[in-house]
Amino acid sequence: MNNKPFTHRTTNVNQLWVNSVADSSVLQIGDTKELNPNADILAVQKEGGITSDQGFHFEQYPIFHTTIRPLLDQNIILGERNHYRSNIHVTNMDIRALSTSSCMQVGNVSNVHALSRTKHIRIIQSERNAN
Amino acid sequence: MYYKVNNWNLSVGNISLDDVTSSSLFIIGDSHEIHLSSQFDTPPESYIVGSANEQQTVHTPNN
Repeated sequence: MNNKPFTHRTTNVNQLWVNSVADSSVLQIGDTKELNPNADILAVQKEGGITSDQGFHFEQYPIFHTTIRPLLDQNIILGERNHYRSNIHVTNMDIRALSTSSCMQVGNVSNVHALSRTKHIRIIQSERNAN
Repeated sequence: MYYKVNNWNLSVGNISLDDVTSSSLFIIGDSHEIHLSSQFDTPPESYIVGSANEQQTVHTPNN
């Protein structure tokens, strides 16, 4: 060990391309203490198209009432991290999409709590024979 | 168990990603604590046949 360890690392990115960021997603450049993206999605596919959102309420579906409890057995492992170089280097990044409570973080983050809940309903006119 | 990590040089040329979806995380850096949860619900009851032309409230049994 010829170097004294650094306390933090710095991320260097030369070029970053992101096409779209949607539905409670985060593109964060720089250090963060906390990230808490949440997305509740009610996806209704109806044959012939949807003309109104009447009759579709988040409250009527139990999935949107759930709470995620923390893991009971956290199973903490003791250890240490030593940074002998203070930089992470990435030349080029190309991301098509960030969606539904996802995060792209360039830099350090202390805590991330992400939750996405999707209810999917399909309504069709009649059953067709599968060929 | 004692978990020891020594980080030396880290250099990446090119990263190409299609999608980061549903409570996912892509990070270039360090982190302390990460909790990612995703729930997806599409039970058989949510597949409704014969009501696409009717103006009615959609009921999905048990859901």
